[in-house]
Amino acid sequence: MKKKILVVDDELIQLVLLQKVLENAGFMVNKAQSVLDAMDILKDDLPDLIISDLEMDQLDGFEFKEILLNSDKYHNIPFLFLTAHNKEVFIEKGLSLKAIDYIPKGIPKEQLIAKINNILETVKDQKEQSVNELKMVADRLNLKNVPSKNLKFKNFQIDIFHQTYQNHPGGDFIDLIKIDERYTFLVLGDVMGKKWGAWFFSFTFLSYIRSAIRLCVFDGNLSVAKIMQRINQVIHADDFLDDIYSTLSLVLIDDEKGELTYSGASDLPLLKYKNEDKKINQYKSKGLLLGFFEVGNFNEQVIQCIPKDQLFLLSDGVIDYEANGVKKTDINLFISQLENLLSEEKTFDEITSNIFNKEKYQVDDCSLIQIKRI
Amino acid sequence: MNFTKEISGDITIITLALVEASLNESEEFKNFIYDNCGNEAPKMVIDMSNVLYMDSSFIGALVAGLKKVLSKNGEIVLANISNDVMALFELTRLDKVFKIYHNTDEAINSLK
Repeated sequence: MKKKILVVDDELIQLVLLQKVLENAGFMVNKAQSVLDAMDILKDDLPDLIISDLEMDQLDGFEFKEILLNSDKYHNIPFLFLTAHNKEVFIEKGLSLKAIDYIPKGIPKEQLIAKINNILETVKDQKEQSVNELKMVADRLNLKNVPSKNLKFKNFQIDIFHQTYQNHPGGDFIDLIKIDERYTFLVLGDVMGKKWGAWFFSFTFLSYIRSAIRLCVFDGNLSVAKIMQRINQVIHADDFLDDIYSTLSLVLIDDEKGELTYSGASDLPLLKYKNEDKKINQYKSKGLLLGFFEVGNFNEQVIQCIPKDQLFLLSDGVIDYEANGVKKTDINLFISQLENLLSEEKTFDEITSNIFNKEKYQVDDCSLIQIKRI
Repeated sequence: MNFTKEISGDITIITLALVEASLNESEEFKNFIYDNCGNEAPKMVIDMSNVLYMDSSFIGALVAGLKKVLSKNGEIVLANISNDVMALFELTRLDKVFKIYHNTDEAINSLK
């Protein structure tokens, strides 16, 4: 993906020349002839780097940099001054603005491109380092929103596929809550949002879900619809989650009878592949987004399974993809791909590697859970 | 601008200029709705005719906006939803959460 650079200069010729040099070097360029124009562009399109002239009418480069530094949204965008002055001017003003990067006007283009690549590479390294540090801390605190161990059943086999988006944790969360030898709850949720923000809140949702399930079971209640309503009630009451929403699929596995009971909150349908007729049926739940209404209208469906039947729970990342630069959501495409692969008796690993590959560019974290009746 | 608004009587009509409404614009959109809530019983129409793809982050912002407006005894209605976005709304029962109209005229009339 090409890196985007916003170039700001009140001299049009200078602006166009720089644009040409940068585009020839493989960058995408947005240009602005004033700080106000630049601010307008920034509203809709965040660049990877800003290159700004120092001396301009109305607002100059220093004032531009100061505006950006005072903005939560823009203060982290790498910034490079373009100037005819020597570094003394930065020692006077620039250093207090953290303006440590500048290039003299008229610099040979090879040096200019090398400087830009250095800055972008440093930013990338710093981001990777921060993410790795956060991941290490999360691991040390044993913060996991996807189980690392699977459970063994007499009549079922569960396989979990979870893929992060751009190597960042996301809002999908999965849990297996074993009650006794007979009953286990399977949870798949998706906090609306992406990356770290959604990841952070997934633990709050998971805590509520685990507690609500345990408390309901203590009270002798194994109805997934009633448990969903209990979860919904506590989330609705929590101001901390006031504008954070999550979908949820909740399945109770009865390992003795070999059947499942399913309830959902604004989740994607549960898919059942019947080996007998080689077809996928969709089980749609009625429940609404967790916590939005005090009463979430949850229903439950008992799903009988015979050996070799396969059921699937999925998060929205499974059906969202980007192809030829266009993003799409298409559950029917996913179902037809899955149906074909299942009819060819592909394994779960073969199915996931076939569907989630480099040709179909992922746009969110995605989770697919297979429950196979054995 | 990613979002524009026009006022018709006591109704605010917000048009999304985005083809893909996603995480990058979601926080700004939520704040845009919050900022246009006014004091009491806000009435809003959101024209989604340009939007061909919407991710869960943006849906989250839309839902948060609806909750805010409902808390002020107001209403948000949606108009001109593309087939793909409508299919997603139906799949996830968001068509039961939002009032949805074929076009902005119908949406505006519903609020009068």
